[in-house]
Amino acid sequence: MVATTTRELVTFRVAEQWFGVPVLAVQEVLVAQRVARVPLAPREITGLLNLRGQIVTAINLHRRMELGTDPEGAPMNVVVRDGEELFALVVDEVGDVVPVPDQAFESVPPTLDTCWKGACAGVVQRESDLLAVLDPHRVLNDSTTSS
Amino acid sequence: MDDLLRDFLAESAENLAQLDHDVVELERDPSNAELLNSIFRTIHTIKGTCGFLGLDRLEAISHTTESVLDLLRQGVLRVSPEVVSDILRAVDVIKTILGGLEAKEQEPVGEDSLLIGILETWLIGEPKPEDQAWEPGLLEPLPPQVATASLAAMPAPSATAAMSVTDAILATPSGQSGDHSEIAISTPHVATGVDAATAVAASSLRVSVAVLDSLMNLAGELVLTRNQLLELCARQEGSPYGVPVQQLSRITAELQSVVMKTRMQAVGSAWGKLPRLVRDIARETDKQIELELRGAETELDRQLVQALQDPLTHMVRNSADHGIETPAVRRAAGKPEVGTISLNAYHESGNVIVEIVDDGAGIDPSRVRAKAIERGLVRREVAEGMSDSQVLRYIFEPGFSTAETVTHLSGRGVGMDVVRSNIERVGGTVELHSARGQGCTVRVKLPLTLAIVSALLVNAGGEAFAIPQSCITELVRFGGTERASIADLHGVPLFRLRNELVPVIGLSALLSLSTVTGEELKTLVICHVGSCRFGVVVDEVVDTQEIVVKPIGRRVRHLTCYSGCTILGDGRVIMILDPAGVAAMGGMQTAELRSTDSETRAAEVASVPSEAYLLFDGGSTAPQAVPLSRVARLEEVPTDRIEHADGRMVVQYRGGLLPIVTPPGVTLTSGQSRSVIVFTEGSSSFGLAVNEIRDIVEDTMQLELAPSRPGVLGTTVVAGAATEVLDISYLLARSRGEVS
Repeated sequence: MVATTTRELVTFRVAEQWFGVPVLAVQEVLVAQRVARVPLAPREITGLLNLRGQIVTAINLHRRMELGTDPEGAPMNVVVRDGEELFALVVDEVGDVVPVPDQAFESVPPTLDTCWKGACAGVVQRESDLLAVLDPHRVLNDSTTSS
Repeated sequence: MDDLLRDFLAESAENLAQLDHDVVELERDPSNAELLNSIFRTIHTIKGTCGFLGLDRLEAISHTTESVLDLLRQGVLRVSPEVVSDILRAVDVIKTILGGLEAKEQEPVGEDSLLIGILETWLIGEPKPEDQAWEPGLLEPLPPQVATASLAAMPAPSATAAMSVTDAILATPSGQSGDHSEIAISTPHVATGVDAATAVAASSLRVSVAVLDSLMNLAGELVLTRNQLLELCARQEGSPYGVPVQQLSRITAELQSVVMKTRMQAVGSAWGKLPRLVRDIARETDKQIELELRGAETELDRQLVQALQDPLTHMVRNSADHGIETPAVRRAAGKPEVGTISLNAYHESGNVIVEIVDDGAGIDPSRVRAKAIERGLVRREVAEGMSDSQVLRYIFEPGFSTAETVTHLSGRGVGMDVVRSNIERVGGTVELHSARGQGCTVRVKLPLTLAIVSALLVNAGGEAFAIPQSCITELVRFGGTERASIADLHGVPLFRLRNELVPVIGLSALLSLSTVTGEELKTLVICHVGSCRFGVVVDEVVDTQEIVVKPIGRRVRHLTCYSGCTILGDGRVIMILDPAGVAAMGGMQTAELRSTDSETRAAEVASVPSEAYLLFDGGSTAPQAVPLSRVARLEEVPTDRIEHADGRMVVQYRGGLLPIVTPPGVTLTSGQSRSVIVFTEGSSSFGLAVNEIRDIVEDTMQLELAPSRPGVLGTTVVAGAATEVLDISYLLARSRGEVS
């Protein structure tokens, strides 16, 4: 067996799609939180939440990734740090942390639409489905839906 | 960075800020030995330390400067403007080198031989070579005797080079070969970044600003946690935690105020550069200017001190360059030749006030008016009807400048609007008063701190918001039966607040929130931002609270209607509204809307005597008014008693015939009785038939709109409604049949 480096991804589901983000980018996972709406904010911004005195900007991944409008049931928050700021990715379900060997990462298909191409860092084939690996920084900033 | 170097830089930056001030002071007071000693010590310390740190360039320049200062100290050399100018140049070079050290941790490359040479001419007691060599323009080669006396070892700068003393620092290329034919002048002035406090007491300790900032944040968190605890305890009767929580609350409040104190900085540190600035401008423009600084010890949050620095520099530069006249002009105007610019800082009811007062020419309102019309900011008819104080507000419009000549010092028209936006960004206000020929006063009002503000919590459209109390002037309940108090002008809601029309912004509509339509009572939050007054409609006022302002994330930072967010006692996050942003979004940018400025209004009321007016419904769309002093009597006349004779309307009245007229554009319709306002002009009387007499009001009756038809003097705001003021002379002429 050849020694390979693996990366660990936190997986989560938004609508029917499973996504992964590098575990190192994730600070913590929270259950549904009370979110303060920010009127006039870009539509994928759910609002702001209070994480032990720190302000976290919550991003609705359904809207960000153009997967319908709102999470069903009680959403989960994947808190990621980008620079000095904290963001919460609002998702439907948080799955396992999965190790992915480097060579399993495949590049983003060029035929993907701009919204997804801008946010994805790669694709991983799993037994039953494809895992879209997100680049947290790009998910948080480059948005086609922001006003 | 090396600790030793860092300490040296911090200490030097502090000393240098004082140095500019001291050197300028010395020029005014050459006999002040204490001042001279202090300057000498500062330079001496720098020289001593840099030798130790191996900073050769810095050592060379400070050594020579020290020597010149030593001669001054011994009295061998007399303090003159020329020697002071040279010392200031040396101080500039020292600052540049220190700035470079701070940025790159090594001395910036450059040669100061020329400056050192010039300083050395003072040492050898030679008469100073042409001072003009240093003025903007051509740099002349040094006289040969100077070169042989002291500059033998350096490459002789042979060519000339254009330079500007204020913008560039002299430095020759460091190569020693004699074939350099040009003097490169390129090193930009690098400001020393450290804010220097003035005299530091011996018992003080240097603490990094980052530590203070995090201390502030922690204190803020503690306040929030305390608020949560207080809420919990309030819910439980007789909780055993009640007493300790009260104790905790008190200590937290104390801690918070002490932490705030650590961030306080004397406002004087924002004006450390001003004496030098004023001196330079005075010399360049051949003016005599005295700069008075009062209240330098007034403290405010360091963030605010920083925010104040640039606007202050700009305003003082304006005063010195445009405000103060040349001595000849001042003498002709019967003023002392020496112009005065004074800065006063003081505390006033929880705010810090900084006033910049000059006794110069003031601002010519007619020029501002002409400029405003020229730039299309206002229509000519409206501008001509405006009072001077109203006109002066255009000074704060972007790109507005009345300076006829653009000097490199000021007058480029990027000015007061930037000053105003900088001040308003930190929650302050700017006001300008000018008296022609007597000078100009700019009054800046700043809050003491930014981090913790007192706020009003409101609900609108199902969301909670905080509005900073500093902007709120009053709360008005309206709705239900009082909905009539909201008037509508071309789809724009206006609120009649006593005698004024106040634009109304519906918060839920502005923020695209669900609006509850109903007759229930709402609250109008009257806000005052800059010169703008407006009302914000909210559904409910909840509470007032001291809140900790937290910055909002970059994804929502572009929304100008919020200045931040805060966490309430129950852990909820709510947005803090920025009234200035809300006003801007509500379209409150045009200068016309600023005419609701209550302070200017107050000033007008003070200067224009008010008069009583009779308000009536004349049958026109708008209410109408006539001066009460012209009214003789009021009568009720049944319509059928109005007779038509000789093509005119008359009524039999007190044994005679009283001609009756109607307001311009109104024809008499038959109906019940009419109110007739009887006017008596000399021997003749006439009556004005109107639908209904409304009220008598006291007003200054400033006509804001020019008339559109005969018989109307103009339109103004009376009791919160656009009102036509009728021309009695015209009505009289019509009653006599002189006009139709």
